Formats: sequence, C-alpha cells, structure tokens
Amino acid sequence: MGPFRIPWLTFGAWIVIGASLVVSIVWAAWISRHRAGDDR
Amino acid sequence: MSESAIYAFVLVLYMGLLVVVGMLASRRMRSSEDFIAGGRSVGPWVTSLSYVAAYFSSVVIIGGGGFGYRFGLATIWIAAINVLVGCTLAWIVLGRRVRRFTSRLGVLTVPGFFGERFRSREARVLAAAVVALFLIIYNVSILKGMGHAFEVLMGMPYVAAVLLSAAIIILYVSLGGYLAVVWTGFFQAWVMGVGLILLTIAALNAVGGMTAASIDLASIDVGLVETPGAWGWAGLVSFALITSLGVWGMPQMVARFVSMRDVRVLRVGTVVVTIGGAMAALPYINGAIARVLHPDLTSSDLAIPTLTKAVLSPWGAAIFLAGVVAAGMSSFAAILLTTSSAVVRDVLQKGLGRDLTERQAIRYGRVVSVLVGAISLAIALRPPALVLVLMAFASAAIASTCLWPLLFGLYWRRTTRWGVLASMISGLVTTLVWMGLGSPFGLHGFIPGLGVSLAALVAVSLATPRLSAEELDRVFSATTSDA
Repeated sequence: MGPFRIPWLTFGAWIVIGASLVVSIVWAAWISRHRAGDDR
Repeated sequence: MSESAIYAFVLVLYMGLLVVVGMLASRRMRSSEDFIAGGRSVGPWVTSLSYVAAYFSSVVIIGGGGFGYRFGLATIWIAAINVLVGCTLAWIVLGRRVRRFTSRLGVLTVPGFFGERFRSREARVLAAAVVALFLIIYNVSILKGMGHAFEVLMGMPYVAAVLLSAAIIILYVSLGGYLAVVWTGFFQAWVMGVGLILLTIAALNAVGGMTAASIDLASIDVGLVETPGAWGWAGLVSFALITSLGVWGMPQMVARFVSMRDVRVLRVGTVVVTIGGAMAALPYINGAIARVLHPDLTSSDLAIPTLTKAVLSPWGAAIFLAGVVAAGMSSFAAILLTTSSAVVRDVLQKGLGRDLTERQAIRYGRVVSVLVGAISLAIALRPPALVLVLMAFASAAIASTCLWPLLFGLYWRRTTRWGVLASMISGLVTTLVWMGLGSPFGLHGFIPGLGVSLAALVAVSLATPRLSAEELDRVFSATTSDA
C-alpha cells in the first residue's frame, strides 16, 4: 500500500457540517438585522 | 465500588433527577396549553437542545455505531445531512412560520394546524389518528433499543430494563407535561453529548488517532474509507434523506417551534441546534473505530457496547450508558406527549366535540399519556414480529402524511383542504403499500410516498376552489401585533 491519501469525498461530510454552522450563524445575523421590527 | 454498583449509582442518581424535574414542571401547570406546549414560554437553549435530544434516540447511537462498523467512514455523511437538513434548514424554513401561524390560529399541535389552516376537521382527525397510531409503534422500537442497551452494557434483564425506563418516563411526562419533556430533554442532550465525547476521545486514543484509524480501516477494506464505499449511493442517499427530511414531518419535532417564547428564540437556537446536532457524527466514527479494534464481532449492533467496555473506565462507561438511556428517554418522552395531545386535543376535544374544562383537559392529557406509555410498554415487553415490521413503517408513514401539508400550509396560499386530504391519504397509502410489497428496487417506501403525496397535493389543490381571501388573511396577514 502506498502513502495514505485523504479520501476527499468522505472528508466532505465534515465540510458540510462546518458549512451548516456557517449557514446558521449568517442566517441568525441576517434575521436579527432585517427582521428586527416584526420579531415578536 | 464494583462495576455494576457504579452503573446502578449513576443511573439511580440520573433517573432521580429526571423525576425531580417532572415534579418541578408540574407546579407550573395551569392550563392545557402549559401541558401541551409549555405555555409557549421556552427559550433558545432549551428549545434547541431538547430538539436534538428528541431527534437522536438510543436507536441512533447503537444503530448508527452499527452502520459505522459495517460501512465505515462514509456514514459520517448521514450525520452531515442530518445536521444540514434535519437541524439547520428545518429551523430556518419551519421555525418562524410554525411559531407565528400556530399562534395566530390558536392551535398547539400539528393536526390542529391542519384543522384550522385548511378549515378541515377531517384533516385534523386523520393526521391525529395517524400520528397517534404510528408514534406508539415508533415508541416501541425506542423502548426496545433502550432495553437492549441496558442488557448489553449492564447485564440487566431486558424486561426489567424496559419496565424501569418506561415507568420513569411515564411518571415525569404525566406529571410535568411539555415543560418536563423539554427540560429533561435539555439535560439529557448534555448527558448524551458528554457520554459521546468521552467515548470518542477514549476510542481515538486507543486506536492512535483519526489518521491511524483511517489507514487501518483502508487495510481491512478500502471501501470503509471511501464514499459511498460498501453501502453504495442508493442506500446512503436514501437513508440520509429519510432520517433528515423525515424530521420535517414529525409532529414531536415541530412541537418545539410551537412552544418557543417568540421567534427571536430562532437566532441563538438555530446556531445551538446545529452545534448540538453535529454530535450525531460521533456514533458513526466510533462504530468505524470499533471495526479496527474489534473486527470479529458477531453483530454490528454490538460495536458501540463492545467499544465502550474496552476503552472506558467503569465510571466513563456508566456515564456513556446514561447518555444512551438519555437519548432513548428524551425521544420517548417527546413522542408520548405528542401522542397524548393528538388524542385529547385533536380527536377528543375538536374531532368528537367533547367540552372539557382546562383542569379536565390536563387530567385527560395525563391519563392518556400514561395509557399510551403503558400500551407501548406492553408491546415492548414481548414485541411480536409484526411490530418489528411495522416499526420500519412508522416514521415513514407519519412523515409522508404530514410533511407536505405542513410545508405547503406554511408557504403556499393556493393549498386547499382537498389537496391536503388527498396528499395525506395518498402519501400514507403509497408508503404502506410500497413497504408491504417489500420495498421494490431497494427504495424505501418514504420516497415514493413523498413523491405521490406531493403530486396529489399540488394537482388536487389546483383543481379545487381556493380558500377565501379572509381565510388566508387570518393566517398570512403580515401584522406585527401578533407573535
């Protein structure tokens, strides 16, 4: 067996988990800026 | 202290705490709104972490570890889609509108939303009946999973384990109602998280780190580190979708949005639910590590219990066991309450038109939650083969009945009551028939069920008269005076 290569497609799952976190933070920031008025 | 004494000590302490939470919550109970939706007073941390706790049951921890063991690291994709679709996007797409619309319509349950949004008692009762029936079956599978976890990790007899855990849950749910469910869920999410993190650290330590684990897995079978690997795309994608999108149609999950204090809960909550949901990746990783350390297990479901005993000290293992039990209990409790509110609120009060005072409604809610718990328990003590088959149907049946009516009810004004009824019936029937035929083409019944119910909803809605403008304004009016 040659040197170990990272299986990129499998590693992609971690990127999706990280991306979810980014999406949630960006959305939360956006919603508190733009919907502050009708936020009750 | 002997190993079993340590387990017993941790569990007794933990279950005692749950009962205390139930008793505290029962002191805040004034109305049936408190029993069903915690008086719509729940903040972001409790809402989001109790969502995570209700989402991931002990079946996910033990079974997820089993998948990791059999199929390797590609299974982390299931967790990734669970986090993105089942947590983050569910909160963004459903949270705000569910909170506002249920508040405007004065309803507390998903069947109740259908009834008022579409002015259809049939939709309400049908949804409540499907939810109650199939959630009981779903609950049996959770109890069974919990019983086996006790059995393997603690050497406790299955019957005693199931009896004990069900008795505790029924006690705190019937006492404390929704607040007991979410507060214990909040607490249980931490126990699950700590247990899973402890196990992961110890397992990574034992195997020599993630890179070493990957190299060892690849030397067993290169498919264990590749995606889709041994499972193949069809299995991986359909399983990830069912466990992620299915959540959008599950009333015990949607109930978290109904009970939020206000829509501002969503800001912090969406971030917290994403971080909390990420712990769903840990059982899969641990399952894969178990494959390296114990390649010759007779059943992949033994992966997590075996790994736990091998890498954790008795105290660590006891905490992890508490986490597994917590995962089962929180899901069971959430379902128990949802079933009870469907029966009392939607079938008895609204469907059959029984007039109940607030105190009677709470009493009925308590009695029905004890009854539903007792029925699930009775079936779980000796699960017949038929129930085992039906379990696979349960979540698919509920989601294919409720998912589109909920989503379109929130977003598409043109949806009609006939469209919704057609969608529910066709979705349910398609799912059941498809799975009854033994899932042709290896496709899970949920997928054709969703396809047919979507087509039925759109086609029938367009072919039947739209709801009047006043009806729609009642729901969609963008006033800021209501929550």
